Amino acid sequence: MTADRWFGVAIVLVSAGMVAEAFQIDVPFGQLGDPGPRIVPFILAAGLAILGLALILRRPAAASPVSADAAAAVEPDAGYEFLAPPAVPVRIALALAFITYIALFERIGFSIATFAFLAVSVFLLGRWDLRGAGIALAAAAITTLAVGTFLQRVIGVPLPGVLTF
Amino acid sequence: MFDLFAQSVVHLFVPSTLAIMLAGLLLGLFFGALPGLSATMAVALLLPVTFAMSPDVGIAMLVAAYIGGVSGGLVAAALLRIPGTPSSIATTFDAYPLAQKGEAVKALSTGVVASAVGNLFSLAVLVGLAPSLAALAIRFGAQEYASLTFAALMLVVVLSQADLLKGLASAFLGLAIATIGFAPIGATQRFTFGNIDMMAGVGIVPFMVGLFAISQVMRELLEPAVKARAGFDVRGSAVRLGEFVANGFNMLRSAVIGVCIGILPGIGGSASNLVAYGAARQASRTPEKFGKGALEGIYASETANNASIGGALLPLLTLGIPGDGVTAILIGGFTIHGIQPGPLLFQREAGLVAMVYAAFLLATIILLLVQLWTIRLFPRVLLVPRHLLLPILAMLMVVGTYAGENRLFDVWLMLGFGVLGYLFERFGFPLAPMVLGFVLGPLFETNLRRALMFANGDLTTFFTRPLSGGLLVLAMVILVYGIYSNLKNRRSAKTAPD
Repeated sequence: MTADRWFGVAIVLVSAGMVAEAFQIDVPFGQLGDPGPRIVPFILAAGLAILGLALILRRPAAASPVSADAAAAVEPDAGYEFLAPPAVPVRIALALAFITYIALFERIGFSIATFAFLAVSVFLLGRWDLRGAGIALAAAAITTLAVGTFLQRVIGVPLPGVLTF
Repeated sequence: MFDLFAQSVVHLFVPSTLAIMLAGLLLGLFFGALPGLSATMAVALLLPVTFAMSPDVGIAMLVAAYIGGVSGGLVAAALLRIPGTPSSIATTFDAYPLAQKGEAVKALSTGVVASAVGNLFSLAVLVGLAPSLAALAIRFGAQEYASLTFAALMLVVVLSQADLLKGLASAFLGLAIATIGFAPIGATQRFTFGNIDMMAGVGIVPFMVGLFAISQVMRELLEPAVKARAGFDVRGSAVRLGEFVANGFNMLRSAVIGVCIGILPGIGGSASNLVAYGAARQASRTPEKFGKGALEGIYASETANNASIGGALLPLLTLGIPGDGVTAILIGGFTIHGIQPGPLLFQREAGLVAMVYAAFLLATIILLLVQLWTIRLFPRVLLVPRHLLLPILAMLMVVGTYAGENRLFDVWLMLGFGVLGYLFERFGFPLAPMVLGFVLGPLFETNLRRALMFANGDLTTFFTRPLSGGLLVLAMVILVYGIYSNLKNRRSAKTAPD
């Protein structure tokens, strides 16, 4: 099944969920002529169902003749090159680091969580040696202190557990 | 208005405000210059920062970031032959060849000067036309507003140049997301699932930061990323007065194109630079020089893309209708400070409107000075290592989204919208219609229900009022045109040889 059809299925499911949930919406006694708070969700659910079904039923578009390998498209005299994305285990580690960062943000506070997240992710994306680790630790410490100080002292944004200069 | 404008310039002309505007401008320039990042992302990231500021300073900062973001695309276009933003696609055609001939400074400074001209022209149009348009819009009733928002959505869907079905699905999903929380009339809970966090609805900050910023970081990590080759040479001569004067009419034409296209929802600078470039080439006495470093091409492209900023701000300020992702975020900037853009803004908050104009003018002047002063230095931002940039950006997204309402729930929402945004773009679903649907949803629903209340439930009220009926006919014509051109494109794609 093509991606468009998967999206079509997902959109039809969202639409069905909307209809089911829209029936639960309380309809207060309104003014004469007011269609009430259910009308827009019903219209949108109907529209989404039609669009989802159309995505499922229509014939898939012809595949693009352009090569999927973007790097092949770079002209030799251009001032840029393409970098390959990080390896799959690194991407998984980065995703886990980010989710852990969000989960711990309130519990252990901005400074510790941010320092740990930056140190781990800069190291994972950079050089995997002692120098890379040093750069990651320094970048994490400086950024955490600078951002914390700016937010807390300069513009007065309240955040949990901020250490400042 | 001119008195207020002068007062606003004086009001903003204090060191602390200028420093904040400069920070916004530099961030915008930085995001505009780096391929993959955008003005939308810069403004989305700055939006939560403005919570702690007064409305005038916060909005001045966002306007400065917007202008910086559109202008920053020039750097990568001239030095890498890759547009930093879609607004600079046509700039690559001539700025890069000129830079390769050892005239990088001329390519960059021509673009900088043309950008300033485009900004100033569009500001003049904005100041001149906005009061008249607002005066007209103040006569709009609920019917006209409902029809106008519908027509604007259809225009965005069709002009986003994507698959029509996907554009419509994106718009409907944006509208559906906007229904979460309390209904705009009667405050009935909808789709909250009994969750307290859901009762406040989906905030504009997690929605925008997720869709535009998190999704971009994901793209950088999952797909091949652009990296500047080290050692580009920024030298050559500066702009000459004779060249500037000779391109006067070219800039005027390009600015008019930029403003007109900027007013249309959904396309803005990304189309105006290409249209203006094409017009300049057609009108040129030496069209054969285009694509080989012609200054006319750079003047046309950079004037038009910046002129589209004023064009995009026109419907935003006068009608409360954003034209693209950046102006949708600017609406968020207004609403978090309790200000509703639209015709009444000109009556109730005339000082704030004048302040937006003043911020536009000051940002243009600061931008011109900063870009000319750092013309040899600023391109170094292209060499910023990604292994430092991406984690810092991700951290700023979390902090900014959390700071908005001090709710971790918003950060999880942001992450969810980031995944949605990435998948949508990956599979060809445009994001602009979803954003417009989300922002216009409450406006559409409020006016739809009000109009029906006024008409005792009679649906013909939308067609019997001339302006409302005209807008609905326009929306239908746009939709039919979209269906026709989509079917034609699919048919020609099917018959094209492999």
